[in-house]
Amino acid sequence: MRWLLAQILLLLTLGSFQMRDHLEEPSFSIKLEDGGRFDVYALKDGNGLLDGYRAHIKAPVCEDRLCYDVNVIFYWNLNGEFLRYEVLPHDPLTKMDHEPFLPEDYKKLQSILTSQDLSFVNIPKDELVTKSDSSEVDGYTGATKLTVKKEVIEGALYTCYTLWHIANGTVVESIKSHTKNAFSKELIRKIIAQDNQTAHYFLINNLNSSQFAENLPEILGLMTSSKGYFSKNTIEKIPKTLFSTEPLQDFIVANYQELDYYTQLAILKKLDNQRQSGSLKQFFIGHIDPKNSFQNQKLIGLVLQNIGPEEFGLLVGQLQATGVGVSEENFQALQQVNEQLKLNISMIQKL
Amino acid sequence: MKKLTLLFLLSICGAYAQKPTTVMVEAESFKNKGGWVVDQQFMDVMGSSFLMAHGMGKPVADASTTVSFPSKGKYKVYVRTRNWSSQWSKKEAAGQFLLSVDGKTLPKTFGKDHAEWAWSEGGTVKISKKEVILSLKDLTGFNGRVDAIIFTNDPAFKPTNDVKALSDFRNDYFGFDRNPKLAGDFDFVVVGGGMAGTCAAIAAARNGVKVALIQNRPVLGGNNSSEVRVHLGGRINLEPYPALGNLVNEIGPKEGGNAQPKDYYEDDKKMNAVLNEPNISLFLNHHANSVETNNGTIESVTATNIETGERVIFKGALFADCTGDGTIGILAGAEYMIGRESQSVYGEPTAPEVADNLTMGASVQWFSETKDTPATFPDIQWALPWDEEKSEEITKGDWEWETGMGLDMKLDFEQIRDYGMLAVYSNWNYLKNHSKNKEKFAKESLRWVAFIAGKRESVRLKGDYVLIEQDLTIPRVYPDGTAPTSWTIDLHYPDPENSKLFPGAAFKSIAKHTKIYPYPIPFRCLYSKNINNLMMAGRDISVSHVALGTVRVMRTTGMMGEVVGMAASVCKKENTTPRGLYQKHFDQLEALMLKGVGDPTLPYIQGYNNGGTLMEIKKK
Ligand SMILES: Cc1cc2nc3c(=O)[nH]c(=O)nc-3n(C[C@H](O)[C@H](O)[C@H](O)COP(=O)(O)OP(=O)(O)OC[C@H]3O[C@@H](n4cnc5c(N)ncnc54)[C@H](O)[C@@H]3O)c2cc1C
Repeated sequence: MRWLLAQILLLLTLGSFQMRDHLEEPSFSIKLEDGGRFDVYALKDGNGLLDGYRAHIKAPVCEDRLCYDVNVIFYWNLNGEFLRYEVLPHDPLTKMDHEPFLPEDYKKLQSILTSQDLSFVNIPKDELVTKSDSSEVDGYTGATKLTVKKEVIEGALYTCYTLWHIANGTVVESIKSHTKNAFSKELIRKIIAQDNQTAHYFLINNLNSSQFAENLPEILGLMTSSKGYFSKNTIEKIPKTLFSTEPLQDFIVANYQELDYYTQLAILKKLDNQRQSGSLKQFFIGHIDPKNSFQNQKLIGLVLQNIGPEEFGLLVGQLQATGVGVSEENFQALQQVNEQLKLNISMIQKL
Repeated sequence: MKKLTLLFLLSICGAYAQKPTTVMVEAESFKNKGGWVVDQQFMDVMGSSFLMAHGMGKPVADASTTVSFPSKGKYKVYVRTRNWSSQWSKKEAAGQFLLSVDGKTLPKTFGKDHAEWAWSEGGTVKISKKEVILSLKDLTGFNGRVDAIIFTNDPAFKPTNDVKALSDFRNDYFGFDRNPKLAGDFDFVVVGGGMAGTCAAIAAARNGVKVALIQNRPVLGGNNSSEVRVHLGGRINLEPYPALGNLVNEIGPKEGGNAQPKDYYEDDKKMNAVLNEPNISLFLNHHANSVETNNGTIESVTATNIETGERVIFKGALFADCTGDGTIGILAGAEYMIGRESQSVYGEPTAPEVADNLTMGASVQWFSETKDTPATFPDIQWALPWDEEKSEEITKGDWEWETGMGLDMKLDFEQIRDYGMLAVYSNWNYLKNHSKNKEKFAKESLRWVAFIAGKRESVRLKGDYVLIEQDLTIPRVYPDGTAPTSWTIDLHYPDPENSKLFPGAAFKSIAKHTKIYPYPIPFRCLYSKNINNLMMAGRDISVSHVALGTVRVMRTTGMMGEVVGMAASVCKKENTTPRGLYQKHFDQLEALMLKGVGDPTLPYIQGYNNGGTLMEIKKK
């Protein structure tokens, strides 16, 4: 009963989309491997901003020599992640022997199309089935049987395989470049506001220098709430020149300690040969500490670049107070600076 | 063999010639092994490697060798063997064989008498010439086994069944132990040639370190070799060290899949990679089994050649335990962990409330092939009791054919392996001879059943840090992070369904997965806490049972190997220990990890079996 209702609902929504398809111009079209093609339409939100993509897919699929056309509508988000699909009510998906999909098959298909962790999709199409074990009904038994079987819908191996490759194939890059070409301040802000780290990765991998500069506070804001290696990767992507600017250096002073070790290292690397504000230098000097043995030499080396008398005094004091030793390379730099300043550095230990 | 005879002659020549003589022949030293295989897996427990007739139900070709006798006359014959199936079945023994001496077959059928390894009396033979051919005739194709054969004309002599006393006897007889050959003095001795050890050796060699690599099988790759057939799992080229894994990509097979045909595992690729390194001396077929230490520092490791019995000594400055079993660590007196820690130890949410000895199990994988015509399989009587409910209508046993959880992966390993094999044969026997659907399997024929069982967990050596679940899930990264682990926390338990059918003796498992972000394993987990110059890579590193769930996959263990090899070069350069590296020179290791050690220009071929992760983007 519920299934029927869903079908009717589908019918209603699809009706309206199909009408729109005729009015809109497709944004681009994608060639399929077997020679077919489909058009991709950009979707807009209420404010006229780009909102995602849709395509009507018709593709031939053969399950064990029985062939039919799958007929579905696909949706992707702004950065090319597959979102969901819809079936046309008069055209259900079928399995082998033209068995129609069951509700749980539709659900499983959704999880297959949105997954990047499947191994069967990496197997060349003609190797999915090994002929050795033809006694079994599914027609794809033998060597790869267990792994493949667990991942796909029984009796619909090629439907799953074909649709996954359409949903996650070349269309993804085309969507990305279409969205990238449409980048405006508003669109970038819209993506930043999404709770989707993949979309945020898409941004940092595709913004140009001026877009980074224009949206810097928001992008830095993403780092503090991110997971995995997003903050390290963001630091690596932000153009080097921005690291000499005040907002970025203030951000470092305020957040350095909360960032993970690898992000910290990435920051130190990016600051190499950049002008450092007095407060940043002082912050780093305060950070030199026996507990911080992994970073001390990097910090000392960095702080010594273009150091003024005031900060040099602070540095010498910190080294003496904490007893942190100095590497050969840093010691030479230290002596060089001290040739003019002539402080007493005899208490400082060499490593 | 020539050498054996020579040594023997030396010891009995001259005045002794008239004295009673005893001649001992090690089966694994047989010159022509026919279809028999050398099995060394249990030698630390039962005392020796042995020959086994692994014919999957078809008797294997005879093994033979020539033995010299110092004097003619009558000799009593003893054969060290066992009836391996009798611990589960009182029916006719699975593995049976005959011995013939100089073309005459002894009347006795061996392999039937006793469950434990012991000497079976074989009657008396008359030796009428100096050089005599011995041959072993397999009768069943079901894993009959022979450790050694003794001939004696000394009425007072009876071979001992005590393993320690027997080992002394062997040593006295062959003289190997008193006089181990020096293999050399190395910067770095790597024991175990799985992915971890192979990568450790290559990484060190490419960074200017003189390496010995000791492996107790004829091939490299361990679980990823064609002897065990497990495919590589996990991801490489990850943050924060994207160049780690280039070596895994360079030597790893391009095709995935467990229990696939032999070629899938590309044994030669790993072997050639090692042979191409002038800095590596490779010792195949050598099983490391003793360690000399001085004040918590290993001075040498000694290994036994699994075919000739010769002993070889390896001196070195640094050692790596890549055995998977922590064997070198344990022999050196390293602290270690075993079984499951209780929640109270590390506060891990997934740990059990009470500690126990449950480890993940070992696997005997297998598959069959379809023949053009019907293929028979002997209707074995010693199979486990089987019926339709137990029957699995399949043609391949993958990772989930897993057994021995709760047993000791070293002391009980022969039993674990044998039970794994017994389960395979029992199900197959049912499918071929009794199942209501046996027609479906008429043309199926067992193609491959592993006799080297794949292990997942035995002991974990304790390092300066023990990696735990919360480190991985929060995640909590440390500055001394190295190879990133990316597989799920994948813990195996006995399959409840199978446990119901086989109470207390399940041979199938289930896996529970928790996804993580790629997590750099702290360097402090890769060296021993109390043995100064011992590092480890592989499944025996310093992690809790729960954390082992992710780190044990072989792309990850391979990357640990890369790191440990790089670390060896830093230790050599700075003349320091692994702990010294951690404390003072980690930046040098960091630089090497950023650079990587494998060929970065090769196409990326490690896209299979990457596993689920929380990582948000694909690198590469
Ligand atoms: C059935 C099964 C399925 C699995 N599935 C996967 C999977 O899909 N992907 C994955 O990556 N991992 C998988 N694993 C886990 C993985 O294979 C193990 O954790 C593996 O042991 C890790 O590799 P390693 O290099 O530490 O050790 P191993 O591969 O065990 O290598 C150790 C080597 O050292 C040798 N050795 C041991 N002792 C000595 C000694 N004293 N002297 C000389 N040599 C010695 C051994 O013979 C062996 O060749 C699976 C394991 C099993 C059993």
